[in-house]
Amino acid sequence: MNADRGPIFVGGLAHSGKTQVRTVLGAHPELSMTRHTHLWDRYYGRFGDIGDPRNLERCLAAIGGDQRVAVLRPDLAQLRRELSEGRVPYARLFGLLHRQHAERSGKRRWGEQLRGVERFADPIFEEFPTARMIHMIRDPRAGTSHDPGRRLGALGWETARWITSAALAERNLRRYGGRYRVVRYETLATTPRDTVRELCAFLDEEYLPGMDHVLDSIRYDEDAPELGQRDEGRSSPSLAFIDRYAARDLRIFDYPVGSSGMTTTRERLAFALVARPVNCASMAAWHLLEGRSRVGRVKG
Amino acid sequence: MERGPIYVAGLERSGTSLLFALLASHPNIAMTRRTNLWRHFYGQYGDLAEPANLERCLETMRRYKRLVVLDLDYDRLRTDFRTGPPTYAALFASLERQVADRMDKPRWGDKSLHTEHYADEIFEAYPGARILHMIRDPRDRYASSYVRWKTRRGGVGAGTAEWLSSSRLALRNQWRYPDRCRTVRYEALAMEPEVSLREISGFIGEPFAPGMLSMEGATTFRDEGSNSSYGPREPGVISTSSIGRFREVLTPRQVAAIQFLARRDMGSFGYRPEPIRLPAGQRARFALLDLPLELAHLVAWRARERARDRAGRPLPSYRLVEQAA
Repeated sequence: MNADRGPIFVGGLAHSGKTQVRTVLGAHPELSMTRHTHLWDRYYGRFGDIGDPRNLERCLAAIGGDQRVAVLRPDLAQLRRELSEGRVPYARLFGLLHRQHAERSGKRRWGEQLRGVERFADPIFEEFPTARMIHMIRDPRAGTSHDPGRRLGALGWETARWITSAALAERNLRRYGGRYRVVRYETLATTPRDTVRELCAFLDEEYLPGMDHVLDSIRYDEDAPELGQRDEGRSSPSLAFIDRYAARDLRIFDYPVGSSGMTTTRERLAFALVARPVNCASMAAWHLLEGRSRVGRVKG
Repeated sequence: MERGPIYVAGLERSGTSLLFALLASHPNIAMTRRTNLWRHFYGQYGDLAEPANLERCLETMRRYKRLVVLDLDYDRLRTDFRTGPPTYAALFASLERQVADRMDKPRWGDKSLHTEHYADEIFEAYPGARILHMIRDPRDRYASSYVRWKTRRGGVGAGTAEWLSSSRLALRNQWRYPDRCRTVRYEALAMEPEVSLREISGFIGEPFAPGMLSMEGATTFRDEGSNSSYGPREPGVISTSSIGRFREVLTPRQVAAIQFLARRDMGSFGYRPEPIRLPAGQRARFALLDLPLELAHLVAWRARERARDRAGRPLPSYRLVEQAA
């Protein structure tokens, strides 16, 4: 096995299977898998050039007071010593924090589960050329994360989010070929052992019997659809909207795109006069806000 | 994993011949070109376990101009074929193996357009295969084909539809077979050939050979330069002069149409749309005339391709010689 194995990142949208993957990888005795420290989306680039000692101190003060980072039990004095030599990109700082934690736990390799970490693929692979990133993806027409009745325009918002995540998956696969994997939630749920074995091969780690036990205990959403099934709880106009606007990416990731299923005039009218315009506006708003956000600008 | 064959896939005018010339100059790789075995022969003659079907297939191969130049030994092909499973993939492998043996090279590869459509079948037959899918900026690709074949039907709409189809297959194949499919941007290969070739060599599991850059293994490239649409090139030199050439060849409305139709997919491959400023009259013409027309061309191209896929893609008669060689 390759001795120079870099960190592992598990990303993707909410309810796409990240936790299941992190849990099973965490069962490996040599992997230190943490979750939701939010170092990347909260602190990356926020304090300017942290090569400047004043900025670094501001950054360390913020990180030191963050409850989510506290699980890593950072030793800030040691961090300062290590950062006094060489370049100080944010990625290095975050890596040192994780490494401290992994070493303290007696693990040789660290990993992090973070929603949307795929947006940081460029700085991650620049700092950690041997890193591996697993991007979880799930059929946007299934799952519990977006109930269209919840609020007006929620469906457009969620669809825009899904399309952006799928586009990042395509881009990162092209750029980082052998270091990037896109895993479908549905594949994980239907063939968990094969999927995890493949992931272990990708990570250059051994598949261990302990992982088998963890896999047995993992639960998937009861509505996890088999390929080709749709969420029956969804209204036809909602499905039609996702089918229409996410068709390109659905096809690329082998999700079937069917007919709208709208059978009544009332449904068609609801789609044309309400669902479509409202959710299109919501999609446009999401793209606008994402483009202006600090995190949104990172992905380029 | 076993080192299998290497396929160079993609559309015409996308740099597939350049990559062919570079790989053909590797000491371990024997490359064939434009055999179109998967497109024109795969599944076309029924079950090859039937001797009559095999003979019909071999007879067409003997008459196919692209294969005539390979000067194949058909008796050996029959003998080799009988030793393995009676499949098209086994037949193609025997054919390619024969060419590689003649060149005394251990590994074979093939450059044929549209091979990306057969990724599933290829990986099922050859699990250790690698597919290198060439992608080029759709504006430059269309400009290059426009210069070469001005009378081509379908215009910008059909050209863009073709590019969209190929580029989406590139994304799908890269997702399905991340360790076995790789997209290569023509621009990166032409501008930084050594960097790209080192990456490609790592991907196909071969050592980088500096001799590849001289393109010695491809006589056309070595002696006459590339097959550029923009006239002769200095032999043995990789030119970058056709990158961005669409600005000279295409009208702003044509560029705007391609960008409108392929914007999202261009972004997936790192191609940025250019700002196009049209005068009011031209803008109206673009919106009311060009765009509906090109959309119709795009839809027609897709319908035509679906029909061809259903009917199969037999060889056109002009590709066949009169008598078997």
